[in-house]
Amino acid sequence: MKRTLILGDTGLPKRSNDLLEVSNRIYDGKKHESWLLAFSPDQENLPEGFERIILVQDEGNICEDARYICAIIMDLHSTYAFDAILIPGTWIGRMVAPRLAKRLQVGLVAEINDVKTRDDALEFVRTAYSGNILSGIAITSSPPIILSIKPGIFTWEQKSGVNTIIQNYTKKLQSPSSLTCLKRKQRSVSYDIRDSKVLVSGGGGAKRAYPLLETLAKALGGEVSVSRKLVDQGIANRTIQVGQSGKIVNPRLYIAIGIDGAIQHVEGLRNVETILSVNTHSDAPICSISDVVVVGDAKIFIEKLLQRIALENEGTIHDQYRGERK
Amino acid sequence: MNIICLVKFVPDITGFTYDYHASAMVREHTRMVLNPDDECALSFAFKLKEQHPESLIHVVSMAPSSVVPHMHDLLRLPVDRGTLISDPLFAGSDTYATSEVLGTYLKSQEFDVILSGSRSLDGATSQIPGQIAQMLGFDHMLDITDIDVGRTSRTDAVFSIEGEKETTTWSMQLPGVLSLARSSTCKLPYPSYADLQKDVSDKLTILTNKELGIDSTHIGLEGSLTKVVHTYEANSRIREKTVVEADDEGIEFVFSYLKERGFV
Repeated sequence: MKRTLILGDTGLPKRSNDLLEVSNRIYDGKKHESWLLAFSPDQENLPEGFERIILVQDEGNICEDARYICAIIMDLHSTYAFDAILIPGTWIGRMVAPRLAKRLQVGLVAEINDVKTRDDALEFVRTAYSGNILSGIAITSSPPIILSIKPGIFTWEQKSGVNTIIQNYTKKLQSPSSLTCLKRKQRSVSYDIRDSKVLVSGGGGAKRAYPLLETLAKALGGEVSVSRKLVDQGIANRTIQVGQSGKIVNPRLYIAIGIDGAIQHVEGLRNVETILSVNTHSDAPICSISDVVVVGDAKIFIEKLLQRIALENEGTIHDQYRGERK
Repeated sequence: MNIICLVKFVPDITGFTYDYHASAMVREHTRMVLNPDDECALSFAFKLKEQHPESLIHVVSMAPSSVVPHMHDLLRLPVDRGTLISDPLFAGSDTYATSEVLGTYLKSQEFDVILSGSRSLDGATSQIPGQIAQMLGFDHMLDITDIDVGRTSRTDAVFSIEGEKETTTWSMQLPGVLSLARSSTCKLPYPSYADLQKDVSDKLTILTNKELGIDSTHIGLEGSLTKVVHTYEANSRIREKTVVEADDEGIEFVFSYLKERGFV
């Protein structure tokens, strides 16, 4: 039986099983086994859906050491001979995948967003040329298939329960790495836009209104994200950037304020349910993929909408008050 | 310090062409610009040179010969030498074959640190720096947003990364590979007016596979382990849109729209 190894997403451990969907697509729904390599001090966070979870007790930040992770995967591969190794396209995954491919002397298709089968041959699809083109890529080297997967694209739905065997990885390997983490400082942004249900997103046209984005996001129960322009100008951080060089997001509602909608940005919005855009130009590219287009100034829009929401909330409070009086 | 800066010139996406039949990018006729992340890498090379004035900066690129004028532009900045690895035999190389060529060349060089960008604007798969580090047996770090030039020496580098939830500061033994991510502080200086027309061709070495001597089965299409078999245009879903103004009426529409869907 075919066997896939999936490297856990250490940032969002629960989401590691999204990569099961990639494995299902590779084997076209045929029976196969999927194993997870997880780094976790607590067993509470382990995702469902895997036949086996190989758990590394992470004492010395192994999950941030690409060379150590490669060594563990090489060790496991020599015993279990995986047919496919899937790596999430996260910060650490993007360091592990190329190294691993070089060590195994196999081709790597990086940051894929689709798997297709054509004439019985597998084709892995990724964006190229700054998102203008999708390339279907075949791997010509012999197995294992190594892929890194663009986060936020694939979602896995549980169909039937799987009994998971948890196997502790106790071997102590010598890491060749000299990397030492000297300092950690919590960042003010503590959310991951890949998890957001509502995103209020600002672009070049929202520069003046940037502080207001958060107020609107809060009022709608969501978070703030941005386009590349605000990152380049040093106004916002890369971790909340949407798009090809940022993140693929899948909120239910995406409010694009002052975003022109360059193809690299739109690339990050494929799975968004509702897009509302606010722009001074009704012919900006973002408008053609929007459900609602508001033509006008970003700041005025936010202020007016906040006022309207406040009015509604006031009403609700009054209604409640009346209810209590009755 | 001996600094090698790996750079790539990427197509300015406004005027690209793509050969759908050959499934390959037509790079020869596209206007090229220095990849933004690589610009960051080079700007940190200059900062390191300011701190350690004895430093030598060597810019290395693998590209068609049409980028020679762009290499010249970089050599008009405080760059000591440039190497362009260019041979029609390398055409069609995937990342595996590309890192094979660059890694083979870098093995022959003496340096303390390799600086590169984290992602290229056109490919954006971040594979080359990691594969080169693997070939050379070095450590590698991706998405570096700042190098502490004061604490970086020929034997150790100190740098930080703005991550998901935290900013982390790291030390790494050199030689090693540091990949920078674009941030607002990375700007290249302009060449001095006197240097604008300066002939810098003596600072540029162009190498072909004749000099590198890599087995022809390891380079180009033959040496590639992945192959583009199809190309598609990236079409986005066109939606039925409602257009309103940012006036009271428009806001009321937006409000009801959001309320109907349970967002307010």
